[in-house]
Amino acid sequence: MRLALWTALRGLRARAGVLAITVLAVALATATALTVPLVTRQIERGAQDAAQVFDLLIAAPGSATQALTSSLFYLDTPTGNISEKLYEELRDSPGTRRAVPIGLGDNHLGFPIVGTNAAFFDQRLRPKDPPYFRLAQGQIFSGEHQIVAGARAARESNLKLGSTFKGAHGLEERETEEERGSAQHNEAYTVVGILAPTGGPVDRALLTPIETIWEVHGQDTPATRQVTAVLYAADQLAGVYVTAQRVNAGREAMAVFPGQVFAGARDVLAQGQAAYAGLSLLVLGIAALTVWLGVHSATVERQKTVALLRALGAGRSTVFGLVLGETLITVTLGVGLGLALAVLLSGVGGTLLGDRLGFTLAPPQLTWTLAVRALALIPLGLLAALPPAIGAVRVSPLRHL
Amino acid sequence: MSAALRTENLSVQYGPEVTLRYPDLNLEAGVALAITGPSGTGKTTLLHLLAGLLRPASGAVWSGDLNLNAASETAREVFRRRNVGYVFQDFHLMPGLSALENVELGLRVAGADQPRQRAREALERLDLGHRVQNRPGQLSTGERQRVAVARAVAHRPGLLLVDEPTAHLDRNRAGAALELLLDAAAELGATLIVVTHDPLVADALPARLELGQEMAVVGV
Repeated sequence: MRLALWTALRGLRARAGVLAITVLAVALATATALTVPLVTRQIERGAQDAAQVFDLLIAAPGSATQALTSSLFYLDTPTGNISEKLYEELRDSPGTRRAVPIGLGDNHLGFPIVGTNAAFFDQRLRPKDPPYFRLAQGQIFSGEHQIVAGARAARESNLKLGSTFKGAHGLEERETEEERGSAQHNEAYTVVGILAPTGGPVDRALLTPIETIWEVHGQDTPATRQVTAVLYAADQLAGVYVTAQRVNAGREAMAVFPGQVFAGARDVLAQGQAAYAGLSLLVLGIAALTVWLGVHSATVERQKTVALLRALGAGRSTVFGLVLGETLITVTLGVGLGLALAVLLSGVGGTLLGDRLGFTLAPPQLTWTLAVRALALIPLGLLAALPPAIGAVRVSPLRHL
Repeated sequence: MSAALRTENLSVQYGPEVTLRYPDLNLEAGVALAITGPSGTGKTTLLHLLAGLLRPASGAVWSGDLNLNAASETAREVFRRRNVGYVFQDFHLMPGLSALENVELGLRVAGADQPRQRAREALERLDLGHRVQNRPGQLSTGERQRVAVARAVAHRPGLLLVDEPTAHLDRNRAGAALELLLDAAAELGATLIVVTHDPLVADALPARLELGQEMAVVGV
């Protein structure tokens, strides 16, 4: 086999042009087939991580997905508001571990100003875990118009402890100076704390007491006060379902299980992925065809090599190994390069997408399920090389000398 | 190692109408034989039979105690790689390999130790030490022939088969090529069999087999 490998490597070197084209075709097909599924899985994982600190989201009736993307990821318009009274009922219910109000409506340079309370900073992935959000500098707000800034919001809007700014109405930054002027509130905020980065959507948030939001929006009396959503956690799992049933039985609000929303989103993604998988198969099929063409374009030259080797006394297993070896090396190089390219592209794509979505995506994880799609090209390539390999063994060397 | 070479009643069939019949050969180890005769009398075919590259329609080729006709394909492969050095008329050097790699290939097929070093030494003995990295396309005809000879002798075979060694060469170079082959065979103590149209080559070898039209070709 060492002779077969030695000859195969030199044969490929002599046909470097064809080798490069075949390797590139296989690599691009592999990368095309794997990059989108890799990024999709990164998004799924990133989104789920952000929703693990609470059990239930309670928001105004409407689209569950919209409620989640607005109140958790600050990426959409809220479905509406619910009364402070409902929030208080939830907070004071027996079995409630934590009820965190969320109040949206304003922004600073596009970063959402989120009204909440001190319970927000007590959220944990598991009851025994330390609090999920940690202060990098300063302290938690203790009075109105104080801000605890998420890491990215502080960095990108150049906020430091003691910095002040005026919030603007609306969830997004206005485009013109005139619009920005008319939307700006008069009251100034002061930064008192900056959170450590979490990789989640809160990195983009500017957190302030919910009372500030009420005051800025003129909700002076308990009857007029509203919150956008409540992040709810119960002491027991059963309590989560009881609360969800109770909320959904009324008309004022809906209870959303984040896991169900993600499962729904995953179903939609799965449909898209199925279509994409079909396209990927087509691309991989074209790559397999390129391998086949590569194998057969070298037939004449290889026949001479094989004939010479056999005339010199090389065994039939050697020439069989030579033909298969050339293909194996070509396809393995292509698939290897393609896998590396897919991980690189999904890493870069994930970073860019995460930046846009407001949370940091975990590094891409190449699973066997995904890799096997590309690795299937190796046996396919060997299959394409089998007829010429058998021919190399069976045909008399004198025919090609 | 050189061994006595013997053929008995050899014949080769080409289609239903032409059969080549060869006279019997009985060669002591280490002799040098020229095979001459007009085109179409089966000179190159006889070389193929002696190398175990072709099975005859009838008869046998004996190398020592080995009957090549009766031997398995694997045994014939082993015979070729260990005992035969073959210089083809068109040299059949691999165009993608350097001169050094072409000779190294032969040594690797033979399973020789230190193939690269031995290939370099073989080329240096044939005054090609300065051309080892050149590919066949960058060499003159004479240089290509010397590379082919180096590949044929580097693994020290007992049987050296050469097909038309002077076909591509002028008189001066033909003389040099002949000297090269005789020297190589003498150094190895190998049996040398040369197919040639060239009287210069045929006259220089001590034994000759002349294949004639009337003798070798029989219409059926």
